[in-house]
Amino acid sequence: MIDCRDFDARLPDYVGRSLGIRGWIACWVHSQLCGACRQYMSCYRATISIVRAACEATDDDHQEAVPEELIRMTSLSIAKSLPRVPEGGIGVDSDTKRHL
Amino acid sequence: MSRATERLHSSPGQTPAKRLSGVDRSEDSSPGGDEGALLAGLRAGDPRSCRELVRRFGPRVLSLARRYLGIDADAADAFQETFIRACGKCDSFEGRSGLAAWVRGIAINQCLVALRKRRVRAEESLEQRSSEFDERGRRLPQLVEPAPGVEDVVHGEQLRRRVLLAVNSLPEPFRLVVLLRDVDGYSTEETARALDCEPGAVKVRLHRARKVLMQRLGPEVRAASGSDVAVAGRAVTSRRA
Repeated sequence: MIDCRDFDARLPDYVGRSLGIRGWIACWVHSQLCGACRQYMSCYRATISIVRAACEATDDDHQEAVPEELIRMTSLSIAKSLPRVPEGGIGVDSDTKRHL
Repeated sequence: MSRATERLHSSPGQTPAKRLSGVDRSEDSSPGGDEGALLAGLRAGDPRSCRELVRRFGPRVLSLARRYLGIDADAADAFQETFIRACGKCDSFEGRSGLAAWVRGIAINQCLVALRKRRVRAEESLEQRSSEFDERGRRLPQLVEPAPGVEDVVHGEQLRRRVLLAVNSLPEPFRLVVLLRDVDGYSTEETARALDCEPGAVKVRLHRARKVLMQRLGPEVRAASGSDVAVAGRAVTSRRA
């Protein structure tokens, strides 16, 4: 049977479901028998969830406005990088041309 | 979703697991309707469509670039490069995922390019592993002491800031692995390719980074894992019965 140190070494693969069946069973049995490791694994999983949720919450709910200057500079850079279209002028519009 | 992770979102119905898949993201949508018109404009080289793309996806891209690069000037450069490439290479968009996921992928690549240019620093020592186990290989209990009632004290916004601070304070090689694997849903192999290292190194860094985060976020993590521990405890009890 594996000990706590072995369990710890296999923990990323165990929680990531990338262990082979023998390794998985060994970890599962250990987690059932060792309360400390079971609790540790819960904290380990919670850490992954919290970090992901915090980053998602930032992307979804706490977006900072993009500075107008950055939008303008980016639009200019895009306009410079796009190929010019001779007829119709769809490569750069008049508003952007003023800044070129 | 635990209450702690739920508090991080303003709308409780959102599932943080979605992003792990790397494809099924909440901001994604099929390239039809509004997105289809935007795409058509981009392919025609219409500057108004380019600006619309920047305005629509800019906040997410800037947020991501800041997370990966930390420095605002670098984030701004990556932001610009992302949209230059998105507008210049929109013909390569095949519509297998949403436009948002496609732009996000470009943004991550641009951040990684910027980081390579910055020359990734040597890995720093993170932790003293010897303190986790006793001489017989058994786990020492100090990391798993319960902290009841913490989630009632910690406000969601404070929690979010604490978590981001903890992630940002990781040494770069570790932070990148956490962001790519745990936040943006890259596989171990994809992460290894992105960071020019072996998959084994990715696994080791990820494991060590998670442990450090777990230590730094001790009370929050223990509060968030409380329900899981209780469920596991009940399962063991019922089997014994």
